[in-house]
Amino acid sequence: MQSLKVLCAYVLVVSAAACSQTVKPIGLQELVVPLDARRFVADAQDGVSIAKSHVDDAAMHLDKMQHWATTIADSGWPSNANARTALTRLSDARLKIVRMEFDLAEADYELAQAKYELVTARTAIRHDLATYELKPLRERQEAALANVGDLVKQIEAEQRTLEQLTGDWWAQYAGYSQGGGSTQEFFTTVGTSDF
Amino acid sequence: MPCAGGPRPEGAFSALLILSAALLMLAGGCAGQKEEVRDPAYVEVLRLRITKVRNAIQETRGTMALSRGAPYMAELNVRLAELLSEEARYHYQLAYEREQRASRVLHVPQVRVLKEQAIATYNMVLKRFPESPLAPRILFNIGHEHRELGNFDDMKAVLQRLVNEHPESPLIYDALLVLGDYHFDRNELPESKAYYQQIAKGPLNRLSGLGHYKLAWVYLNLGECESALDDFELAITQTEEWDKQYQIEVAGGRAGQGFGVSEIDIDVRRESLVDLAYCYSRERKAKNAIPFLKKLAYNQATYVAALDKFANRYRVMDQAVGSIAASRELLRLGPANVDRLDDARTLHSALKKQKDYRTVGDDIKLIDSALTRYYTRSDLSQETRDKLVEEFEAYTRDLLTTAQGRFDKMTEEQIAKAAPQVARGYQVYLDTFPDAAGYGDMVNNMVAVLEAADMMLEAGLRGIEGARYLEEGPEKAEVLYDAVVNFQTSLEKEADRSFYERVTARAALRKAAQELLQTELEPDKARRVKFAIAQSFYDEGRYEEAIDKLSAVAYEYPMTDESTAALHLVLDSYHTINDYDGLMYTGRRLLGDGSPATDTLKAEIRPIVQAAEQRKLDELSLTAAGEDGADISVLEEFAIQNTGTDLGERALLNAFVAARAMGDSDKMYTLADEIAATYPQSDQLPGIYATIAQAAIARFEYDQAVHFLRQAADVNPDRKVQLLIAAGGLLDQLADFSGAQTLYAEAIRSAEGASRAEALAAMASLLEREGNPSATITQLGSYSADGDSELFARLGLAYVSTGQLDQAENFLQKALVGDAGVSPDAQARAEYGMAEVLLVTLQGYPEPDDLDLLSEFITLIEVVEEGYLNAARQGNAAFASAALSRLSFAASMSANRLKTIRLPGGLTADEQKAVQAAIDGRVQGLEATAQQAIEACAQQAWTNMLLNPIVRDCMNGQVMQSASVQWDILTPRNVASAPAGLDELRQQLSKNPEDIEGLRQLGNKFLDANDPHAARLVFARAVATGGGPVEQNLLGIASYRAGDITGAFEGFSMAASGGEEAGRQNMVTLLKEQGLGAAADVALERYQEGTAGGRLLSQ
Repeated sequence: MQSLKVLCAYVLVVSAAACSQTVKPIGLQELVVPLDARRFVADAQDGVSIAKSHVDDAAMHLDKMQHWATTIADSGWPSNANARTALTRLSDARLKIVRMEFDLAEADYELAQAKYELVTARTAIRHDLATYELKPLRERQEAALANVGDLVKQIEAEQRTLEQLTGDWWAQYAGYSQGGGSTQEFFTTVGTSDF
Repeated sequence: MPCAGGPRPEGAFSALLILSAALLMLAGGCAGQKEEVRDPAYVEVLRLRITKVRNAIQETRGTMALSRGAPYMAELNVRLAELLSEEARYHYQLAYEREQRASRVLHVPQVRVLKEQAIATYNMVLKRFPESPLAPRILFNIGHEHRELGNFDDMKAVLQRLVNEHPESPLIYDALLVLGDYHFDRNELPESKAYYQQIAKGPLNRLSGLGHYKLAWVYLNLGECESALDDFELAITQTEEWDKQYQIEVAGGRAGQGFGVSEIDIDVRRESLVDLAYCYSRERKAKNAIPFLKKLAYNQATYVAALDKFANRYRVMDQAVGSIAASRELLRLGPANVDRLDDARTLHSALKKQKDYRTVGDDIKLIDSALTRYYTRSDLSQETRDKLVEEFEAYTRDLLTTAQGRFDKMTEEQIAKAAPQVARGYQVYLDTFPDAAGYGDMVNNMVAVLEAADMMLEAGLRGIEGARYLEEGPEKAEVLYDAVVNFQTSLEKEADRSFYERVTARAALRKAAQELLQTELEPDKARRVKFAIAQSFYDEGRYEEAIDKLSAVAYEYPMTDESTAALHLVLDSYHTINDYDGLMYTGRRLLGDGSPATDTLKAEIRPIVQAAEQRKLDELSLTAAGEDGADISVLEEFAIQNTGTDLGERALLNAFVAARAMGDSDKMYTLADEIAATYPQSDQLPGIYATIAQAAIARFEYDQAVHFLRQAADVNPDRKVQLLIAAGGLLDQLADFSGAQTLYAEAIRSAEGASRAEALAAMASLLEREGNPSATITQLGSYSADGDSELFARLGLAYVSTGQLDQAENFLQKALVGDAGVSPDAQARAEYGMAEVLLVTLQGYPEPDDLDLLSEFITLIEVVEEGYLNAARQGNAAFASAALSRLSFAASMSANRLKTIRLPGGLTADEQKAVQAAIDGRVQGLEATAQQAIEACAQQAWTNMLLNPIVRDCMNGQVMQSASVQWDILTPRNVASAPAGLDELRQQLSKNPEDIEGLRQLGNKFLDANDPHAARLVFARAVATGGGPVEQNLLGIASYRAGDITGAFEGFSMAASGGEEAGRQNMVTLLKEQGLGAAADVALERYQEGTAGGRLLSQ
């Protein structure tokens, strides 16, 4: 019984180790690896950098959108309740989409990292630099890909909702402004960072 | 110095006295001693000089005393005279200094004495040494001495003597100059003129310039200004000319006495230029003065000095043009002193008088610069400064307002030309007088000028500045509004502004607009201001904010110019940031109800939206076919969102293409049905059905393939026939002959021309294999008018089979003599058919009762034989075997006829014997032919791997008893359900149709599921794509089970040839089952034992 426990524990440890393996990067000057393969790895690496920059861009965009939404919330404009509601909904929807786009950027980043690891592992194996369990790496990539796909679909759906709310807002705005409502705030303080 | 004094007093008083005395002695010295006043230093210098010159005189006299008769006595005497004259000069200077320089008129006896001594010495030299080269100098010196002594007559005489007796000497010009000056000083102008003219008109000499200068002054005094001007100019040019020559001589090392202008006291060029001002101002045009001076001035100092004179002159004359020109130059070049202030005043007055404001900006710059340069002097009081500022502020303001006031009378073009200078002037004013009381008004004045000068950014900035000086109200709002418009115009039209300027313009615009919106604005202006704000965000690249603001303008003011412009910019913003979703949605919204867009704009928007939609679709399609794995659902979703539109249709089509790329046939079928249901008029449907039919065939889904081919034919008129023939061919192979016939018949009905021939051939082949010649005649006879040789051959055979020999012969002849493109198959049928027709004739030939008939009979036999042999030679295996079989029949039949034939009567014995022998020989030949033919027929099994019913009969020693060719007929197909586990294989094969292993597996599954017809097609594909003996054997098994014995034998033969033992065994089994046991033994011997392990017929 004791030895069986030890055996099970050993199996668990080995399995965990296999799942949490660390893929060692391949140096771009590694001459054992053919040039084309090194370029392939480098391309995957570039993909990670690009994805990371997209995350930064998305973060900036989110920050900007939050500021915009704050100016909407703080302004108390317009005075018409329906218009105000429409604007608030629009603001919330825009912010939601930008948050989702940020999540998508992060998911893309995760996918790029997974791809990079998989490419590196495959290249290492192919050229006898190291041995790895490819299955967990593939699963990681597939999971990341699925996550990206889901987010894309969610954003698409949310875009349609946003469009509906945008139409509603402009209809309210047209009625409000043409009915004599003041729009000065919208051109000066609401939704801008100038004043 | 102490001195001897009186008796000493006693006591304190005595002490006081002693003390006083001591003090007095110390302070003043002693009474009675004289003070010595010493001469000033220069006097000491003169004294020293006198001492030295006296010494020199003494030495000279001493030398002269010792040098009697020496050749240099003249020089010594001249030197003595010069020394005497020098001493006289020093005495005069000493007296002048002594008189504190009070007067030049002095009585100094030594001077006269010494000069007269000098003169006497000079005269003595002239007398004793008349030929001396020093004579000209001596005469000039004598003249000089007489002049200084006031002996002017003597002076004149001796100088004239110099001029007359020594015309080559350069000193004559000095003499002439002295003579001329003498008369000039006495106002004896004609006389002085004559002397000066001699200098001027002589060859170029050191005094030419000065001569002209003096002559110019003569003319000036005579009132002859034109001549004076000429001489003043000549004074300058001649002096320059002489200077150049001097430089050349110096460079050549030949400069000697008399060269160089440095000996002349005055700067002739400078003085001439300055002094000609009076005459110039009288005789020449003022506008040419500055170029004239520039041309003649040899340095800036001369030029400025002349300008000063000119300016004064023109000021006095109140000559505005000249004053302006000279004042400008002086203000530009002159030193910063009080004169510049006068020049500035002069310039102001002259400009006002002349009403010349063309360069008012530059002029104001000059005027105010004179002030600012002078203002900073440390010796000025504040009061003076303030007064000057007040004065010049008034001048500047006056000029600017006057210049601007003139715009009222100008055309637009003139204003545009004049405005920049006025603007510059305003700029200078504002910089120079920031504390002026009218500053605000001037700023606002400047705005109008800047607008006229098209300097919109500056106009805007000054507008904002000017507004600060105005009270709240309509006027201020107007100014702010103009500023906003100016900024907006600057951003739109002044593309060459720097980045910083544009940033400034935008920020200032929004600031001004914000302030403006807080006032009560007219609706039109409010609209424009809001548009300007929104546009500024667009210009700055803040597109998301711009979209909101521009949209707000459009919705608040629909159907206006601003609305249209705003919407254009909204769409452009989306395009710029590559937000094609936004572009698409917004475009759609603008095309919908409640849109602020005009109809014209909507017409522009439609293609934009379409392009955006297409782009969106392209991106989704890329995503669907992503590098990481495809996901069609995004396209499907998009199609649902756009159901009933071209976009929705394209989305479904793209999804279909993506599914095809993925090899997802189920999805392809589903999408195809969806497209057909939703877009039944789609022009892509024919291609879709053809594609999925191909896919179904590739996946060996034959039932679906037939269905899709049928559907494709329904929607594709251009390719209907080919599609129906393909579908019919599939049904044919699947033993659905009725279905195939129906499709072929439809194809024939739908076809025209060459395509009908293809359909007819397919139908004819099917009917032929069914052994139904009547049907062939019935169904195809009406198309004989097409003229197709293939059809002729088949109809001919059909007629043969039905005993209608005349029609048969007709068609067969047509086939044989048809166009050049008759196929070997048609040729074989036609030859066979003709042979059959002739066989019937042979069979019906009467008993020959004479030799001719006999001969004819034998010839007919030969023709029949030849006919069959021709048919066999055409390469069609089936008809070759039939021809051989029938040849054997015909030969055998002919031999039997000949055996029983009675010899014709009337022959001699020998003739009978010969004829009989010939007949016997012919019989033997025919019997041999019959045997050879049947053996050749049977041999087809080994040479061509052909085991059709005819060959099987031949192998059994039986020949065809009629003309009808027999074929193997496929057994009916009986499929209960599709075998399990095919999807993955199909998926695999659709991605790689040449996967032989996969094909083999699939075929085996069909075999195991008791669908040999499908298996047969699969294995046929496997063999066609490179499969080996294993696949050939399997093909044989499937063919056997499907009833295709011919195909089975061929498959087993190929497998056995390739070393597959199972093929060999299967072949043997087949032969035995067909009752060909002997052939089975031959097969075992013919094919060696091969590799074990293949599938057997029994498995």
